[in-house]
Amino acid sequence: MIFYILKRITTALLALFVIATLTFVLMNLIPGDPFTNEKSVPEQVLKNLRAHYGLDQPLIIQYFKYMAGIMTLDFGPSITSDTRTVNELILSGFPVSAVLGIQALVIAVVFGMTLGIIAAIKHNGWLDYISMVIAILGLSVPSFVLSTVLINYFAIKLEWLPVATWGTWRHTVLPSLALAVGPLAYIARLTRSSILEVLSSDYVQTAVAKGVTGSRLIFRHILRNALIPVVTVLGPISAGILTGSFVIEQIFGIPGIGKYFVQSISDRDYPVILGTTIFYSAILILFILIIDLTYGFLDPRIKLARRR
Amino acid sequence: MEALNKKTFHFKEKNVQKIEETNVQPFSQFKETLYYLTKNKLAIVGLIIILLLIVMAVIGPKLVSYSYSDQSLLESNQPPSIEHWFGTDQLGRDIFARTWTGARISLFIGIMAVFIDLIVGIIIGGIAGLKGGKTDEILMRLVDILYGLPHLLVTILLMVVLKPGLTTIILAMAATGWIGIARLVRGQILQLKECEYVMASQVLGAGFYKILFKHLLPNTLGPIIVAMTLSVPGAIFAEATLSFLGLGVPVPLASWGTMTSEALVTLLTGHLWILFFPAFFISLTMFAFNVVGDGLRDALDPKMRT
Repeated sequence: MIFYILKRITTALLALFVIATLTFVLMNLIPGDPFTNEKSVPEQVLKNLRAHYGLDQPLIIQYFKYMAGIMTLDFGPSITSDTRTVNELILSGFPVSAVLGIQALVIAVVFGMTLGIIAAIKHNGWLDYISMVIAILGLSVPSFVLSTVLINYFAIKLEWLPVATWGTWRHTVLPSLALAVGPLAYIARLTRSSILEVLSSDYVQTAVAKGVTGSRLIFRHILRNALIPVVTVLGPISAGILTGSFVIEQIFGIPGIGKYFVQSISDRDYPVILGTTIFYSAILILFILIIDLTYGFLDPRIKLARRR
Repeated sequence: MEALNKKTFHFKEKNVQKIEETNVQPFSQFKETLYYLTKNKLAIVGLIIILLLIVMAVIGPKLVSYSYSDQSLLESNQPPSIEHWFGTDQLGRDIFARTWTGARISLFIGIMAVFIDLIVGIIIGGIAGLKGGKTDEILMRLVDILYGLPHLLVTILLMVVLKPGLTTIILAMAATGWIGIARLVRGQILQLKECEYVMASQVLGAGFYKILFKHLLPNTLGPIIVAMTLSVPGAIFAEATLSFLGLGVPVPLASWGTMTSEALVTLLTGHLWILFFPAFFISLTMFAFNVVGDGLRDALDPKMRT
């Protein structure tokens, strides 16, 4: 068990190292640097700028400096924003993105599971069909399409909620919904099929034969086992929510990390691209690690040490 | 306790008799899959939609006299009419022509990216599964590490570095897309290697390649086809997201993602048809591939046939 946890942590650290190195290499493959576009700047000023940001040093030294910075959680200064460091950008953007992401995750899990449970219990009934139609639509409509529909109806036509930007909880409703619907649909389908599978298993048949019915059967016998697959996909789902937030934050003009990330891509602001990428990856890798370790505890049949 | 009599007992499944009757004739796996697939109405609808989309992608741009890049500012923002079937956009470009040119690009990217995933995935997963031992250990460590990364993020990073274009988008998506297929193939092969019929074949003297092509690959085909069908909408979605972030195909080329992204302002100007057509066709395509993939999975899975 301890061996397995150690192995998982090593893999996670290696993954972080790989992504940090990969981003560094990729960023340096781009021809030119952030100052190449500023044509009116005299040569000497450019030189000073490059020296200030350490861009005049050999790559290998830049790399080691950069890696050392990461170890001490220092991602350096932003190039386009004179006054702010990458750390400040992440610190100001993360709470916003976290609220959005967690709300979306909670909506997706709660409503997705409810929909899936209803569909499975009323298998082949009209409730089942309605739930699954909702689920397939949710999977098929990309979040950016959905958010435009939501904005058009709930913000522009009905004027119930604000069109964009960030502030009160009312601002969080539409973006959270837009972000949640895809994962919600996925969880609903998974819950349904996994409950249906458990329903036909011998121990549930035995429980029914013994006279267990209603909520006791559902909660005590079925859900406990049916939900393990749902827990295992939480990792990929959070990855989806995380990358989905780039687009959603862009559409709704939300000042989260996703927006800075997209902004830094068009500005070629390397330190911000590097910093946000590593930050995102670290959060995701940590999250997946926790989930993997948890469901080992949830399901005693899974022998962690022998799992792949 | 109630008295037990005949009425207390009943068949749990009323169609037990019927199942036995339909199982009398032995089918080949292909025929069997086809049989169950055609019974799934939603999957048939999906298949028809995919065929129609492909046909329209081929002939659509030729049906109108406008090209996808012809601009005419005098005719900008026109609603759908006999002249312009889907209307025109902000620059007066014909949306019908753009939609089907976009269909070519989106479908091509989706299918090609998945095709490359498949080739790389089968090779890597196959080698890992067949060789086992050290090779397997090293390859799977690598796969584990890459699997932990947010894929779309890596694709975005690659697109930032590479020159924008069709090939680079496909390559950037394939760079991480093969990982899932490799894991799938390896798992399947590991499972199949232990099967009795493979052992029987070995005992009878069949060589490595005979076992690989005659037993292992045909039996992994089903899950691979399902994974492929379900990956296509993922790839189309990824392309749309990239285009949406301004990292897609370069202008004036149109993909559904760039069209949607450019049309966002119409939410405020009210020319909503510019947004509607690309958004609708992305959703329709993803819907079609999703239901066909589901149908195939159910058709290949004996447990779902009750």
